[in-house]
Amino acid sequence: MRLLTPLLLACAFLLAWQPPVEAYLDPGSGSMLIQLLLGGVAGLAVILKLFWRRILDILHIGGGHDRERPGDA
Amino acid sequence: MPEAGVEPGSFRDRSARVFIQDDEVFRGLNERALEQWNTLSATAFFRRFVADGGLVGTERLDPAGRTLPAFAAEWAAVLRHDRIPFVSYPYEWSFGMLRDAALLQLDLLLAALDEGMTLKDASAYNVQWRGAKPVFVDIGSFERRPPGEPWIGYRQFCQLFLYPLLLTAYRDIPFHPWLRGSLEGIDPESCLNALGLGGRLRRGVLSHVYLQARAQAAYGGTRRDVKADLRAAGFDSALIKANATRLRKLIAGLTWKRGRSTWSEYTKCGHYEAADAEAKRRFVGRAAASGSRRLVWDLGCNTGTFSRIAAEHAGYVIALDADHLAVERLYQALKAENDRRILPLVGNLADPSPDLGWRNMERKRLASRGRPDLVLALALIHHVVIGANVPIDEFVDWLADLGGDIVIEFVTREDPMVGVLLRNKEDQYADYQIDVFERCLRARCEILEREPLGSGTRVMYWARPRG
Repeated sequence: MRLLTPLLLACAFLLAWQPPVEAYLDPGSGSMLIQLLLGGVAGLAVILKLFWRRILDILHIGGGHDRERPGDA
Repeated sequence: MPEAGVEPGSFRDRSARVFIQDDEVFRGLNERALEQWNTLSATAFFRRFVADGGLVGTERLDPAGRTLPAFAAEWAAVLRHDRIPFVSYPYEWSFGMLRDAALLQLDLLLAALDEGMTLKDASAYNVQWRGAKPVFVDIGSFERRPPGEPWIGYRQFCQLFLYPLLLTAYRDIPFHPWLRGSLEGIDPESCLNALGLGGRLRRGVLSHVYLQARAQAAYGGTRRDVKADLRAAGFDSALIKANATRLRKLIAGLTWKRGRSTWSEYTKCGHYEAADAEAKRRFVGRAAASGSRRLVWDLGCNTGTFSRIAAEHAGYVIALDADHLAVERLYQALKAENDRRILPLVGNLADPSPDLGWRNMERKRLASRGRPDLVLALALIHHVVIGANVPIDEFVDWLADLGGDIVIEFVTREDPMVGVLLRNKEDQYADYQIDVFERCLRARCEILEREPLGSGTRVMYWARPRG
């Protein structure tokens, strides 16, 4: 169980975001996201919420919203 | 001491700036930083850590009655910090020092989170030392935690604390050259490569190194506002606490299991007859007790026997040795004694800490951080001249240029240790003769005392540079 949980979290985590795009280097983004996996049980709820928001984003259903900032590319 | 004025290494955080005047350390704060200071100074953990010595003593300055530099007027407020006796850098610390500095950083983070604050960075350079006691000095790092914000300093903590410790603990790779060559620390990908396949199975590597390296590769260039995403999803301080608590457990359990090195066993190996050792101790004690000794450097300190003698008479002692294990053992001994007067550092005179960073001014060479009143160079000269090929007159000149008294032990060619150094080398050291050495010393210094030790192969000198 100790191994399974992080693996499941990792899968959810990796599914929760779009593939990377080339833009300015933001070296902290990955390190911030990884903290969800390192946050234990409390991180699971946040991951699921992020996952759910991404699904809504992809389906263009209200509630999720794309937060890409204009002019970042 | 450093010149009065702005501390050139404090420019990164625009909300505050450190400056030094009349040997005192001040920090100018803008309006936002002043608000953070007002919050911090009212917390229980601030008082607790200052009382314990883990946080630098700090007070807000009443500008009335003090003459501060003109640029101080640009700031909303000015703090005065207790002075750290001698600034040092992570690439000069032993394994145990870096580990204890990391634990202090985590303890402060956890304590701050309990009271609604956080640390906005996690630089190892924010920790300094009073002897064997780590002291966190960057008061400007504390801020009220913005709701939903992750631990912004996590990556920096890994690069400057965790990865150097993992490489030394798991692979016996010294972190000093790496940190000296990269002020931002070791990136996850490089750490992963250095740990190798076997290292990936060790505790903490999968989560803090492997996953971070992969996440960084995948999301380092994302256009999404990750902070906003996390905030919207309800990122809570409980996540940071869980991560920091696990990190603390991981780091507290790391050990460097190097059993022995060239010099860590030196004093046990009987290089000295008992009578010689006693005469040497008395000689050093006399020199250290003479006059005001605010700062002493013990170069090639080994296990610190003479640093301790100097510390009986001096304000502060820098105990420097190139042998990491010898310095680590000295640190652990001093830590057990709760010492506050001897700072052990890893350093090689022939490959010394340079001026580094922006404009080569962020991190300074040793002599720019405080010149010694007394330098001990005991059984060192043969390593510098024969071991590192430094001409003897240049070594003596360098010692004299430091400006303080010099206690130097000359080891003659008849000594077995010199024989060991020459064993596999071409003897090109015509200058390594006691009469050449004395001529060089007299050219720059007045010799106050000269005492041959009973063994007949070692001579002690106490010299004072002229002018």
